[in-house]
Amino acid sequence: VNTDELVSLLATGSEPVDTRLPMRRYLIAVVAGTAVATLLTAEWLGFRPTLVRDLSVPMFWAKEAFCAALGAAGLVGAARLARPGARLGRVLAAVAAPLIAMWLLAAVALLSADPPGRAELIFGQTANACPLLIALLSTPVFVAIFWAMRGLAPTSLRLAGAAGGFAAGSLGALVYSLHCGELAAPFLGIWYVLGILIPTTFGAWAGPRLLRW
Amino acid sequence: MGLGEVRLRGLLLGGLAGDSSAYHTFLKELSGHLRAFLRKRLVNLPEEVEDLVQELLLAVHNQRHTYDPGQPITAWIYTIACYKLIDLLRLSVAETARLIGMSQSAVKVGVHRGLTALAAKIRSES
Repeated sequence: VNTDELVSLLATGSEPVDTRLPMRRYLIAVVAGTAVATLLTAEWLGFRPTLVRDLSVPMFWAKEAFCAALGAAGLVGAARLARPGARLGRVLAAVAAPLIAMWLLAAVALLSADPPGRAELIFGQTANACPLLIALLSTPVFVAIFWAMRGLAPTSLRLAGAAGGFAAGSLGALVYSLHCGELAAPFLGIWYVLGILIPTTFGAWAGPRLLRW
Repeated sequence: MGLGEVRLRGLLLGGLAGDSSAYHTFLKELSGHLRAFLRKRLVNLPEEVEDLVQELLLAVHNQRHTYDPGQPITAWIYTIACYKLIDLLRLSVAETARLIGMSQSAVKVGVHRGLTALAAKIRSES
């Protein structure tokens, strides 16, 4: 085939292409993945009994906002990295801001606590289980995001995979917070972040393998 | 953004909306850009140029749904072209090195320089 023939072949009968379709697919995937993670939490871990009471606790909302903000930044990053030539822009700042805010809260909490009470702020009751459960709950979101990214064309595969994993981990943490009763900033700043980093690392590993085109 | 950028973008957007003659012109002008560059870089491998032009055309065509109308089209094309060229050349660095009698690392340097120049060329022509 010479190039002119190829050009004609590609151009004739070209159907209209909806450029918004990939993003719609991406949003559907995220909602579906998060819904499955929520069902898993409800069935397997159970929502915590104090959930309704916690709605009036400011730290509960800080925790939800923390996970949601990381999730949103991760999703925007993953979506941009899935398009050739798109720039990350302020995504890195949007990832850093909630982390820094939570670590500042943690520092204030630790400094104002009595030394014997500090371990409790850091380890809570569930530090052992927290990162792994977040990673497990992020799995359906991870699968959904990677499926949606495969419908686009990421070119920095490792970074795109890490961003997808980070978004999945943050949404996993958001869902996990419906079960987990820990509200201390040091706990969240350490164990939640570790939980999010597990799928992030896995995403960086999986990106070059699963996102090639 | 130069005239070429505006022109190519208009043609592609027309094509995406279903105007096959705009899309035909888009692919034709794009293949011209790609050919001119590759010819200049692959002086020793003139017979490879047309194959690569076609590979890159196919890649752009297959990924045309990933173009975001708010995004510079040259950045989009350049990134696809780089990705595809690296992918193709990674597979054949050893073979290429043998063909043109350079070391594998020299081939890699050449690929890198070529891609940088491709970017500059696409930008200056647009």
